[in-house]
Amino acid sequence: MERPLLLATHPSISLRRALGLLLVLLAGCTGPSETDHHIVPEVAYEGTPLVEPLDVRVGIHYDDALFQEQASIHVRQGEDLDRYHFIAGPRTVELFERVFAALFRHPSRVAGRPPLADGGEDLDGVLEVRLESVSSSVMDYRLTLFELTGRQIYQWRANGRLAREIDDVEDALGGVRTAMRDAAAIFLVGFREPPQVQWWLLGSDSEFADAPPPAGPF
Amino acid sequence: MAHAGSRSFVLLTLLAMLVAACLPIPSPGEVEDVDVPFFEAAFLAPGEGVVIQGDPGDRDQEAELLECLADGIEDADPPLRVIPTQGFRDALFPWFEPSTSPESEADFERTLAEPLVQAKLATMNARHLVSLKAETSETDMGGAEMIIAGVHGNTRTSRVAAEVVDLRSGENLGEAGVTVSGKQAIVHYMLYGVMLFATTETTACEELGRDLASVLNGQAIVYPDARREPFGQDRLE
Repeated sequence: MERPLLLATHPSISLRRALGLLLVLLAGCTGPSETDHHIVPEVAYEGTPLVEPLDVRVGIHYDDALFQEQASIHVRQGEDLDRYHFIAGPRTVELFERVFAALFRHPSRVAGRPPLADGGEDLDGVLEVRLESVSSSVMDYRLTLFELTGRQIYQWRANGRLAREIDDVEDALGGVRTAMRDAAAIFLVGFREPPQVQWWLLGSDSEFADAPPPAGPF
Repeated sequence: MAHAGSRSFVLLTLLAMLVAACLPIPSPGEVEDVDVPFFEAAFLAPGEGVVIQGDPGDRDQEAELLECLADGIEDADPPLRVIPTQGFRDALFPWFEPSTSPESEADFERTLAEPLVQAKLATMNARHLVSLKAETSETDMGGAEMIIAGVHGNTRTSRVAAEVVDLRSGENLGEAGVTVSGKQAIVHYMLYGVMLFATTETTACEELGRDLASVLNGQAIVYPDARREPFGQDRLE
């Protein structure tokens, strides 16, 4: 006996899925396929952030892993699977360069965490940017502000979340872009809020001088 | 030539089969509920504009919905100015991104107190921020299946709501919402079928756009009984 088709086997199936199954059956003669795409996304933001620059000299250290950052998003259409690998690292660094150029009046790149080999006497502090984790749902960064002695002043966690429903490469690109912008925006808006940072900005000892490093996120 | 002709025939046949496989028929659905309070403070002065943003808590909200509401407002009353969302976010970065956009009145107070934000909003003449929220649900109506044919249906209901915040004061002026529902069905015989689908979100956001326009241009205030048809010339005479 002929087996009932489609909806008979799935009485609660949604209309969209039913249509999808119909089309898959029609186009299904070629069988499922899996394809990898490697894409360098555009810079997520190309303007100048709307923040007052702080009159501080900050050395910026980008952790090596940040340059290798890659967000992979899988898009399934019927039985076909497209794996989009977004090479985000260089773009993330470009974005943070814009962020720091707007936030600090005197940013510069340094080779590592303090204490620096040359002492870093022309700096007020060092900010390290690390890639904490990246997945198909979140891009998570950790930014740590250090005194020149190497003592941690404050640590921020800035993460950008991607949309759950991604139907095509345009959705995926938009999601990566939004996540990168979000992470940068969270850092910019929250940078001045912690009292430890306000103390550092004052450039003097205070009641926080001996406080243990606070845990992020803010 | 014969080879090219037979190839075209095969392609045309395949195309015809695909078209015939499932014929989609859109249905606008019916407006069930319109809730547009008359917030007088929402009235826009000449030159002032509104910005429409998606629900910051919903990353999956489709950009088409924002465009639909913007088009609904501008089509209802072309002089009303809707400031493009992405341009607004770029100009005010980092303050109105999905993770940083203010939600409570306290958040707005804090963000609007930033001198650079105030100056940029004044330059753009952005008066209100409209935050769009949309929810859609489907209720199964059941169906019947034979060996190779069948029918299945459901009811689709969408509510599209817009919260309006005054960007000068940070005051929440109120929320307007429209609910639309429509029947959907799919009927198939083997691999061929007809699908009736309800475009309830589109209908709801277009209706909401018209209603919001009547609030923003002040006609809903002047002619409260006419808010469903505020743009007829007879209302002005």
